[in-house]
Amino acid sequence: MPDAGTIGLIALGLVVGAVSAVTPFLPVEAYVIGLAVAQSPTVAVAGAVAAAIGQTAGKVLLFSAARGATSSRWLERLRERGAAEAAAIAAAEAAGEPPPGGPVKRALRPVGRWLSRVNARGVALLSGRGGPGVVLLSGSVGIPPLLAIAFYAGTSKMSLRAFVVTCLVGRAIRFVVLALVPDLF
Amino acid sequence: MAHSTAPGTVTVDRTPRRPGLPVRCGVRGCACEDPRQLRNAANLVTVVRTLASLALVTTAAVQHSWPWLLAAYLTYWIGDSADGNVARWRHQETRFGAVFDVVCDRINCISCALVLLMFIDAPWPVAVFLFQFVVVDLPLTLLPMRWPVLSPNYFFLVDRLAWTLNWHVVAKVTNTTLLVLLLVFLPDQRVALVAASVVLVIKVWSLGRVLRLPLPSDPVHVRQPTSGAAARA
Repeated sequence: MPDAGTIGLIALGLVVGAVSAVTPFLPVEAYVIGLAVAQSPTVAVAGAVAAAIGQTAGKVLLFSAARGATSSRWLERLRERGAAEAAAIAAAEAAGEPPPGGPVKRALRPVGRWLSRVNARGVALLSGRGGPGVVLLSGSVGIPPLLAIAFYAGTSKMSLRAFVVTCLVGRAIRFVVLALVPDLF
Repeated sequence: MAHSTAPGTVTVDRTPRRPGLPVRCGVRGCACEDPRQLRNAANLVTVVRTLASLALVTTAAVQHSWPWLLAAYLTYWIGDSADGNVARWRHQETRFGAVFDVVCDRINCISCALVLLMFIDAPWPVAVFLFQFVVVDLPLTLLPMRWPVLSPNYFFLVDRLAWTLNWHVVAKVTNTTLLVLLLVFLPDQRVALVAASVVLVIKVWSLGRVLRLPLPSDPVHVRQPTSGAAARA
């Protein structure tokens, strides 16, 4: 039976994982590596699994926030405003007039169109069969960033269960590998 | 049970802190002094100061108020000093407490530094500091736990130079306060950037040095320092 200090270190992995899930400024990897070099492999792996659970809990928070936001009245108003703006631009182009808005707004319009195309493709990818694979890749390798993927997945049709399982497995693979790295040398 | 080895010598209590724990060697800062308890006043102070500073920094961000940010920083700094002092005063220093304190430091320091950016437009010095504090200093400060010491504060028992550069009280205060003071009091941000970069270089060098140190042969007791080293500490 591990002592209280060891249990505390493992539980702390859970906390660091959850906190780092919502802020990119506290990488849980630094804690896992610190644990790996200072503790036995068993404690380090247990801490890594705890960190993966904490990370998954934090990412589920982001996933749920994004899913809740898609049905929020604020976002609905934002969508309506965007649609009205797009209609005004189309009408101006059809009439051969310059589109509405100042020079900055006009210059940023192609960037906005590109972003919405990328956004639509991302959401479509995550809604399809490959969605869980993307989350698994993001969770284990870190590319694309899991922070962004958690938000995207929340706005897609991916089920919460699929997200939790793939995120947890991906993060567990990543952190357990990190925890075992010091033993390789 | 305390006992004296000979007339005129210092009395050293060698009984384990709790049943089942190793016999104490008498070296202050050795891991054998760890009572291995999570619930103690020192850890409670750490929890309270972390949550209080987080609440204050959130208020500062929401209200865009620098007095709230100052209060958050003061709570973090005073609380960070208080938890260590309480642990030493009540003989509650634990290896878990040392790691817990290090992690809570990151949470408070990162949140305060990010909100500081709302008031002082200095992204580069803060970015260098955050990289140093989280990516380099976090594993570096956890590394001393490889040795049977209670916390990095006792790493002079293992390597005096690394301890002086990183865990001497002056080094620790410098690491957490220097950047903020420079950004607040000096209009030229290049000074803060140079200072943050110098600290980063020292931390990277220290990380390499501590990683190259030979691992302890005895996992339970740290080696007794020489009398000269003990006096200097």
